[in-house]
Amino acid sequence: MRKAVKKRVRGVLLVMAMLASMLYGCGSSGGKTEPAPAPEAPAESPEAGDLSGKRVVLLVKQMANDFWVELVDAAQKTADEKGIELEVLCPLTADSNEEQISLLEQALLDPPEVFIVVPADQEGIIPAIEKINDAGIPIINLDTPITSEETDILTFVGSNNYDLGYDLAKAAVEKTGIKEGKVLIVEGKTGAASSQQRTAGAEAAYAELGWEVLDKQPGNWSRDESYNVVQNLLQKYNDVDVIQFNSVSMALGAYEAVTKSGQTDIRCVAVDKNAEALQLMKDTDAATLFCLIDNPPDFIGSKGVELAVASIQGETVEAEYTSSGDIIAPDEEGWDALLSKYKVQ
Amino acid sequence: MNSQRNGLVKKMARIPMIFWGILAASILFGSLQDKFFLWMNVENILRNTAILLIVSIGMTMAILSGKIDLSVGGTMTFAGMASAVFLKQFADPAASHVAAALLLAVVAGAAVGAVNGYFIGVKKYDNWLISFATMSITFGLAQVVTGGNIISGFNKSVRFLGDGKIGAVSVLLIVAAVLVGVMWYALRNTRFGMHIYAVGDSEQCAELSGVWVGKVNFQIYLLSGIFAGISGFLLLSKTNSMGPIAAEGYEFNAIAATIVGGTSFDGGKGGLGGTIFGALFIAVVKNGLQLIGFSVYLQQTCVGVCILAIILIDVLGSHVKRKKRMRRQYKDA
Amino acid sequence: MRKTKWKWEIRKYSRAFLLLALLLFFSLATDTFWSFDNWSNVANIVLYQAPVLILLSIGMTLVIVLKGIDLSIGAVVAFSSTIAAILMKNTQNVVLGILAGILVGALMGLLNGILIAVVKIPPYIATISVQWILKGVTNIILQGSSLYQFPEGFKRLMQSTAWNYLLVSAAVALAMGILLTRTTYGRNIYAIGINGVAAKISGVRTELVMVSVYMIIGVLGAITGIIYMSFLGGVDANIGADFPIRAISATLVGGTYLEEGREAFPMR
Repeated sequence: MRKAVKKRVRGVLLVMAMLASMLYGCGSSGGKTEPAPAPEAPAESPEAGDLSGKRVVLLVKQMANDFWVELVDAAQKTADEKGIELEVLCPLTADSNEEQISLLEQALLDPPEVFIVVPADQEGIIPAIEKINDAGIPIINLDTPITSEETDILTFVGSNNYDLGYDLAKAAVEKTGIKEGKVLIVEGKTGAASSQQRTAGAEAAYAELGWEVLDKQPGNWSRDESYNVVQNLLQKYNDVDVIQFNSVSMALGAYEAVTKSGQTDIRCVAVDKNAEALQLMKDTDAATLFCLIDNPPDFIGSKGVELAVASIQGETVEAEYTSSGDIIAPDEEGWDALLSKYKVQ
Repeated sequence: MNSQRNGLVKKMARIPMIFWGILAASILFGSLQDKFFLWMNVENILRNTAILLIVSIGMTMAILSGKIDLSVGGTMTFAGMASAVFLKQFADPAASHVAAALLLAVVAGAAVGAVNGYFIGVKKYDNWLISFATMSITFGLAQVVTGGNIISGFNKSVRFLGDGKIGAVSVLLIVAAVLVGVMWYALRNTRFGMHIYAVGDSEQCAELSGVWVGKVNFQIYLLSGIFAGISGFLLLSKTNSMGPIAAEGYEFNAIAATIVGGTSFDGGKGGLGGTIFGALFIAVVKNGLQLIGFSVYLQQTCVGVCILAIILIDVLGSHVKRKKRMRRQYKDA
Repeated sequence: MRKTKWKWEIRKYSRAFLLLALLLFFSLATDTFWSFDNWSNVANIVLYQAPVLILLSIGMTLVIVLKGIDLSIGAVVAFSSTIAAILMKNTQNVVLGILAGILVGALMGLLNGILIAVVKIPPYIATISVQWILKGVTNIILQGSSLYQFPEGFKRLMQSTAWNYLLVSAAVALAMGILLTRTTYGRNIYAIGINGVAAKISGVRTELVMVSVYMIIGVLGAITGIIYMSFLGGVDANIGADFPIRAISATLVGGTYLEEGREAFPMR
């Protein structure tokens, strides 16, 4: 019996050693520093003065994607520049409305000056918004607009998702020059507002321009699910001209599926950009993946913090600030600037 | 004098290890972040656990009887969606509509539970397979009903059960406390509860002792479905929305809460008391890590480490207890 | 006696029947099923989707026969392919990267195995905690972005064996099937699954067998990760999110659960 205990203890120690070495190794080779610091203010600022000691809370819906990482980084940078403390909250389960609500309620324990909120579900978040309204704290809404009349939102910063889908579809039609084309739409997560609006905009545009939407399927914002979905779709439809993706990570995941499908003239467009997509477009001269539309996370993130600071300092802010979605393609202006910004060789 | 000391020690030993775990974690978090002990935070933790706890009641019963119910997440979604679709027909639902919606959720949950119970209890098909199939079917049905959309935006009367307050206490906590309390009593003091433990210990022995095993199994899954239905409605009420992915992962969390709480997969050991602590522990850890301000990634890692740690302590602790007991036996001999 | 034997035979082949029935149904339901284009795409699907699922399901079958479970397999895929990708990019050495990935998979399997067999943590809890830990660690390493642009050698290696994927995974499936049913090792796995204590008393070295089974599924997960690297052209932290569910469902549908434990054939 004693031997068994000893064996167990050795097992436990071995496990702990493995875990410890893993964590240590990953911590040191982690590369970039973590984007979300602990509540202590990380940097000094030239104009400390009336902003030091004030805090802003930013709630995003997930952090497993370039887009959100960029948004948070930009917000952090702006916060550092202005000398204000930024606390970033994020649900453990991506896009979980329930967790977002409890995070906001928790944040009310030590209320900040301003809340900046990216809701996973713009109506589902309302119970928490109401509590924040009751506490009298202003709310800045990013990316997914909270449109209820019963809540009091200071301002909104973001892209119009409907326009993103619409403009991208129009660009796809114009650039390919096909008259009555056929298109597949790969959506994001089922039921996510941003995904639904992008799809709605795209469908409207295609209908106007005489294209047929063969099918739309959710890719769950995920690279490998998108891969499977597109492969299956391309088996069913063999006359596809364009595939529109509601996010660029899904487009990247499905890229191999498209090129291997045997339908050589399919072209892909996607909402949003990242370094990998730009690299791909440059390397292949935008053959398959040929067009993106910009949904600038850094603008949204930093503008949100800017407006938060403005509201703390008592300035008036407008009801909304929508960012424009520029078309990204090698033949559009701003291409080279983007390449150098993302350090594409 | 010896007997006096033994009495106290015995009482202490019977408290599940998990309770100490929660205490230790709470003290740890509280020392790092004094906001932890504010009543508002404690209430948040309790409210976060409430819905999971209600679902876990059914799960605990299933695991106690040596089986499992993988379909609770799907049932929650299905029942919640049914209620949501029903409620959305009214622009401003009154209390009677809300009651009807709750009843609808219960009926939907019971229907799913009955299907499970029939195939597993009466027909004696494999419980993993059947509950897995039911899970896929209910998740699929929920998607079909709404075309994949989220239904959200309800008025105050709908949100009363999940988000309202009576005086200073959350209604949700009251509901959870009542349900858990009733089932806890039922599991320990009624014949039904005894039968569940018996079936869990050995289905054959129970059958031979005259327990109608098929009926017990059916009832377990029926109840599990009903509780899942109630939780689905409460989730809708608390978060003001119900979508196909809202209850994603609930079945896994329910199983985790039950197992961490000391109920064993073999069946026949453990109970609802442990599950309460299991669910609480996970919520405490998540809450505490959040308050300390770790990055999301670190939080994910730490949750895993903490669950591991608590189970480790539990397993080692019960091993030590067993050894001590054996030693005592042989010493007296 | 003869009647029950007949029934058992039907049960044994019921999965194959079901597969045939499904094929029949689809061919009748859609008119494009038999066209040439379709078959070339079916080839694609069978080539690219099935091998991954087959590999994972084989591992999961072994684990489930052991009366265990492995929920961490998705996270293992992501983590091991991340490590492989990092090494490949930093050292431009394809073989080193692949070996490192496989080693990581084996180590994670070792971790699971020790937790379950030696420390005696219930497999459900052990693997779910490992899953959370690996998810977090992978996220910390990748910081939400993805790794891509693997060395040319990797692409060439993966491309050249395109058709062989299916053959390789079929071979592995066959090998595992033989292992399970015809070797002592395989019999031991069944024995532990049916009654662990009896197996131990009968002389089966339970800890060794259990740890090795979890290591096998870990290695299979790592291999899947590397295959996925070439399919997707990159790695990110979310790969493999639904792998555990798919592998478990493939295994269950294939008829494994403490019964005869036939080979699971993915029918998705």
